Amino acid sequence: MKIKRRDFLKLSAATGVAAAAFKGSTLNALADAYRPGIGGEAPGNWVASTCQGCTTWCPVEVFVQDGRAVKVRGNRYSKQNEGTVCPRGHLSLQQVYDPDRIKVPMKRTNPVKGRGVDPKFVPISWDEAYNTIADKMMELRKSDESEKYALMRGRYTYLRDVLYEVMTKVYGSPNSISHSAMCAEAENFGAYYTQGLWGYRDYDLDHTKYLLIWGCDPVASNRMIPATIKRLGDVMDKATVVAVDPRFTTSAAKANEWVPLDPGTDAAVAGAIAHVMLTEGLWYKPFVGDFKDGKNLFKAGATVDEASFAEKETHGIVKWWNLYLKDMTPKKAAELAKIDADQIVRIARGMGKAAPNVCVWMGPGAAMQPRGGYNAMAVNALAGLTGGVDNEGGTLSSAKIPVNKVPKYDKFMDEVAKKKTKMKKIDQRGYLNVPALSKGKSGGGVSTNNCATGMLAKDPYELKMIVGYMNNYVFANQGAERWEKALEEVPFIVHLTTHASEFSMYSDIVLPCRINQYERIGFIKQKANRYADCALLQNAVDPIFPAINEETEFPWHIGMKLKERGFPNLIDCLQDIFKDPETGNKATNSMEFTEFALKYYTAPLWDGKKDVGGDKIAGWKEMKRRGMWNSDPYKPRSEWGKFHTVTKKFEFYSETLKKALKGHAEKHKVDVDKVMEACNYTARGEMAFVPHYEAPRLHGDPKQYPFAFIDYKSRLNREGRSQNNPWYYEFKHVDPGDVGLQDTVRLNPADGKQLGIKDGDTVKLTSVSGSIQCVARLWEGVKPGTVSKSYGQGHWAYGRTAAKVFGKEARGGNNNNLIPFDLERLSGANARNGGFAMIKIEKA
Amino acid sequence: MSNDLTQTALKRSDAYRLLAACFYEPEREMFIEENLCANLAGLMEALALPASAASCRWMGEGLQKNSQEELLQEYSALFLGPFVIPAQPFGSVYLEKDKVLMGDSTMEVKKIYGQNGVQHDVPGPPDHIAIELEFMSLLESRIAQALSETKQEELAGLFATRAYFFNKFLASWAPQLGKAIIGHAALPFYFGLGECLNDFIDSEKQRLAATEPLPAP
Repeated sequence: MKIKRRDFLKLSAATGVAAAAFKGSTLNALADAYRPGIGGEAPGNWVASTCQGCTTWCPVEVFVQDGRAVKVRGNRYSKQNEGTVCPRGHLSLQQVYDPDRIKVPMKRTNPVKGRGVDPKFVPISWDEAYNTIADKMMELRKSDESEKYALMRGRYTYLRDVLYEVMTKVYGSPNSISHSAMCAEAENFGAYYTQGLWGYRDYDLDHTKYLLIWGCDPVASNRMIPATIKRLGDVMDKATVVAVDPRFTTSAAKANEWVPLDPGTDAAVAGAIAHVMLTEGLWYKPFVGDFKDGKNLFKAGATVDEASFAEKETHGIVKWWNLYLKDMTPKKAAELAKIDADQIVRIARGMGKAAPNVCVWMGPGAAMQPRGGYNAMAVNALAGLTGGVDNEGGTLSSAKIPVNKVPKYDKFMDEVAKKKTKMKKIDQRGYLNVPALSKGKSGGGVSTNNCATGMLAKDPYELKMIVGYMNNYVFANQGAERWEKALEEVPFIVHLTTHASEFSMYSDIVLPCRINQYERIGFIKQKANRYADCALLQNAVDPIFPAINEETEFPWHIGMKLKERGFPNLIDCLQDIFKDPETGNKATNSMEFTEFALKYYTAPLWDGKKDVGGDKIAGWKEMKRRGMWNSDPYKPRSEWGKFHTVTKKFEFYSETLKKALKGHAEKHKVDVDKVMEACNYTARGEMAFVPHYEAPRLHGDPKQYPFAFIDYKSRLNREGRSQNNPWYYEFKHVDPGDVGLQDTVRLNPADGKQLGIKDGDTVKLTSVSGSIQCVARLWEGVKPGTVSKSYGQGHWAYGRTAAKVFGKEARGGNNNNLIPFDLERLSGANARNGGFAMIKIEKA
Repeated sequence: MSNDLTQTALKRSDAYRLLAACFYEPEREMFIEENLCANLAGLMEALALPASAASCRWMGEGLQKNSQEELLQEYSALFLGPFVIPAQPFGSVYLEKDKVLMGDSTMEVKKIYGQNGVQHDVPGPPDHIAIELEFMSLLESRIAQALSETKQEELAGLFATRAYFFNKFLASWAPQLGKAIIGHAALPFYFGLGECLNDFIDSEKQRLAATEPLPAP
């Protein structure tokens, strides 16, 4: 807060008693009220917006009274959550009114960067902040180094195009870095290289007869939470529910069966289920096909003539059998996964009986491992085998969401921009050992955690400037200490964020941003519960302190400043391509620009020019009032016969992966075996093209580090951002086996006894990467030889509640200081699951 | 009413206002040019608060010694963050169970401002220490006017508002803020400010307690 008038500092006598004292002319913060200012008693109203506490992205409504948000509920029009929200929606109230939010633009005054080093931030004006940033950007342009600028994205809305893509490219950098590889790219890999879907699946719980949950806990995470909470009871009444997970999740607690497989053995168990389904003739023949003479030739250990089988909607079932499945018996898989072989048989038979209404819900736990790509394919292959893929009661694709795409902006890219945007990116995507094969293309996807590798090695070049938004890569990436070193070396970093975090500790300028659900403006596209939707994020309340919509206002203001410095391309581009679709007017200020961009993208849903199906919305005003559009329900089997694979079929033998791997190998003038070796996979030859099991790639010798560490996401995690909220700690016990008000590691009582560790003991967990401290809880819901702990705590610079001693001592432990750096390289994904982080446990 | 009482109320109004000024982003040059600390010390002496006056003089010496950047750094470290904020300047952080902004207490403060014909006109919640001090300054100036014009009924209302606002809001958390400042300040300006705030609020508490408590307006 700044003093607005100098008179405020003067004595009354100096300005005259009557004028100064009695008439209040020396007031600074207070002004005459223009209305009878009785606060706190107005009736209030519900304003539609979107919760982004997790990737369910629930359409919500916020109750606003006297300018204050006081309550949250699901959007009454939403067909995905039907007016409900999970605990995260409510928890957000403590985020928007967190007193530790950034209140003003700040700059660092201590040039030394590092953990434990106080940046000594001081407040600056918005103008100074934008001028400084624009100067730095122009310096890079003038020295022909604009590629050394990177935009690093965290939680986004779909207005992201403006900051992430248009600004970065028009300025002249190839480095638009998304966080997607931290989320679940390996999961997408599994779906893409079997069914041609690079994206998350939807789940038809209302019609399922068999729900196989694998490596996630759908009532706590994974994109359909309120709908699942509402439905799981009904599903239990009419279907079989099985949870495959080394940890005892909430879903596992309710399920008919819990399959506590050893971490990283997913493909073995999935393979054995497939083995039983094939040997017992339980596959869904209308989808997969059958032997030409009707006689089942799948016998354990025996190869089958490919010509004897006529496939329908699939490709390569016999090849998969011959290469892999014939030998993956229940007995073998049970030994590898340390589970009961009878359980595998029982599940296979149950799924066969329920086919095709089988819902295979594959989560990141099965995929986000160093060798997780094939696990993800193996689990998803069960959806193909049962005919549950893209089918009633199974997994679904998405109905179309007919919003506009980013407008063309090529003409605003000058020669520098055209040249620089073609350069290699800092995450080394497309390198031999980082294929990142998104949608079949070498280097087609991001490898977020590998940015630190590129930055540290200055390969392909040194980064000199980063703009990060709503991200905290230095906390949220595994092997977090690498990011600390990498960021220390970057000369200029800007952080656009609601709360200062570990990333801010390395930043030179921090700008306050609007918080999603309450203040931020944008839109999202999502699907759940058979419906696709587009929901708006609206400023239900004004920001308490001035803050920007970083995806639109930041590019706007920087564009203006760059123009002052002789580079008008960005602001000219923004004004030109995002006009008001109703009037054709160009924006004249940043908030108007934000609204125009939002209107431009969503116009097909409300402008009435074309019937796009789904909800009928009469105009922009109505769209804002409702806050969302629902599609018509998804039509099952829309993809059958036209899967987006090379063969247009569901591929058990992935021609699509074969093409992608060969393309990547040819680019590097090697063979596919060499690619597999570079990516730390053991498969050679044809095995690289089918889902198969590989022994987990462990970090740490099990003799020295005998416990497999399992990371999971708390149902109170608003991504990594709720740890400064007191409710997070108060209610932490809602995670099964957890205890409120502490950071808990859960270990089996048998292991506890052997180690002499009791409930409540403070323990030190150590991996090859680092050590953290937390509190032990002895609990049967974790397998002997494994421990589990939720991600989220362990902040050392986040706020009064989240950090114990600012800048120095964390509250609890960050799993990412324990989990070493590794990647699932074929997809570029972070490796964070599958128990590859081996640890030892000691009393602290 | 005597002119003395009017003048004392005006001095008290000034003291609240100048104290409020010290909680804004520091502007060293302006503070020095306007003799902020010396004037505040003079007011405290006039109000027979020697400890507060001493703290103000200490603040003034600090203002001379430390640079604008040092003052800004300390101001940020104490009140602004962006990380841990040891001396949160908002009442609700002390008065609300969950220590959040914009709590029910904040809304009540806003309501009281409204009932008295003013609203806050700076970014942030209305229960910032500087704004609450300024509101007390406004009340004291109105009291001075009512005293000078011998408006008894208005005076009673102002006394009631002052007692209610001071006791229920400002005085119920400002000492904790003062203590936090003293505990974390490294520069004399802010250390002295913490001391001055505590001494001044404490003396005001005693002064107002000496009069018969009034019901809520």
